[in-house]
Amino acid sequence: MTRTLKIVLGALAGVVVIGAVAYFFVLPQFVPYVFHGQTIQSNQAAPSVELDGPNGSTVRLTDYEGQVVVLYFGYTFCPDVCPITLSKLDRAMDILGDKAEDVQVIMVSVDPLRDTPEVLEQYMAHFNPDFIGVTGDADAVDRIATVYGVYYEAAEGSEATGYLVNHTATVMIVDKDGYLKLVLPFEGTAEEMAADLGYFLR
Amino acid sequence: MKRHALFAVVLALSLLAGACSSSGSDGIVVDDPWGRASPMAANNGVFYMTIEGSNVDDRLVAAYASVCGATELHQTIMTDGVMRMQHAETGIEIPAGGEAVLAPGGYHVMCINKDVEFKTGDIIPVTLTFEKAEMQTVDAEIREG
Repeated sequence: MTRTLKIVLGALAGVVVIGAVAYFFVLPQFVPYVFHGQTIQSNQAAPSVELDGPNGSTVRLTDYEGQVVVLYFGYTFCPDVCPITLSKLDRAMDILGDKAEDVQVIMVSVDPLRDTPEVLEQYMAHFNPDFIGVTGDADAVDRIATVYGVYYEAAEGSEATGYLVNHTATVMIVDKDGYLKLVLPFEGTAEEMAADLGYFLR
Repeated sequence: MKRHALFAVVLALSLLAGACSSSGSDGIVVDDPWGRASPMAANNGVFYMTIEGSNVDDRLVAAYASVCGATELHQTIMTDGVMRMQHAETGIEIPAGGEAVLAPGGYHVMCINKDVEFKTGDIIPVTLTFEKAEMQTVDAEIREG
C-alpha cells in the first residue's frame, strides 16, 4: 500500500466516523419530535367544571396544573374498547416509570346514569391504582365533552344491555398548563403513548 | 409435479388440523379462546377466539357461559374515532376453509351482567352454537390485555 493510499483511506474513515456521529447524535437534536397522533393548538384551557371523583371528592380539570393529564371518555359497561385503552395506558405508565408520577389518567364517564363514583373507583383501580374515574350530571359531562370535541350518544341496546353508548374513543393529552395538545387514536400502542407523554413531561 | 407436492402438503396439513380438532367430525376448530380480566365493578366481560371454518360456510349464532346473565355477539365498529358496539344479531360468518376472528377491537362475545370477577388464570367454559356444526364448549382462559 502506498503512503498516499493510506492517507486517502485514513481520511475517508475519518469522514465516515464524523458523519456517523453527526447523523446519530447531533442531527436528531434539530429534528422536531414526531407525535403519534393529531396535534391540537387549543386556545381553550381546561374548564373548571365540577365532576364527582373518588371518595366523594370534587374534581376539576383545573386542579391538575403542573401535571400532564391523559383524558379518556369511556364507560364501565363497555367490555372491549375501554378496557383495551385503559390497559394500554397502564403499560404506558410502566414504561414511563418514575416520570408517571407527573401524569394523571382520568376517565370521564359518558354513562353517568350507570357509572357512580363508587363503581368508577373500583373499575379504574383494576387497571392502575392511580387512575381516576369521574362522573357528573349530564350537563357537566356535556360541557367537558364539548371542550374536548368528544361525541357521545346513548344508543338503544337489547333487552340485556338496555342501552350502549357510542363515544369518541381517542386518548387526549392535556399539557401541564391545561391545554389540549394531542389526540391519540384508539389504535395507538402503549409505547407510542409513553413516547408522546414523555415529550410533554420533558 | 410441484402442484402434486403442494396438494400433498395441503392434504397433510388439513388432516393434521382435523386431528387437532376438538370437535371431531364437524371440522370447526376453535383456537385460543380467552377472556379479559375484569373486576366485579365492571358489569360485563368479554371473550375472544379464532374459529376455523369447516368445509362448508357456517355461522356462530350464539354463545353461552353460566357466569353471564346474558351473552351476545357484538362487533366494535370504529368510525372517525367514534366507537360503536353493534349487536351481531345474525351471528358471525365462518367461511368454509376460512376463519372468523373474534379479537380486541372487533368481533367479540359480550358477557352481560357477569356474576363473578374474571381473574387472570381463571378458566371459564363457553358454549358456542353454530348454524350447522354441532355445538361445542371451549375453555376460555382469563388474561390481562
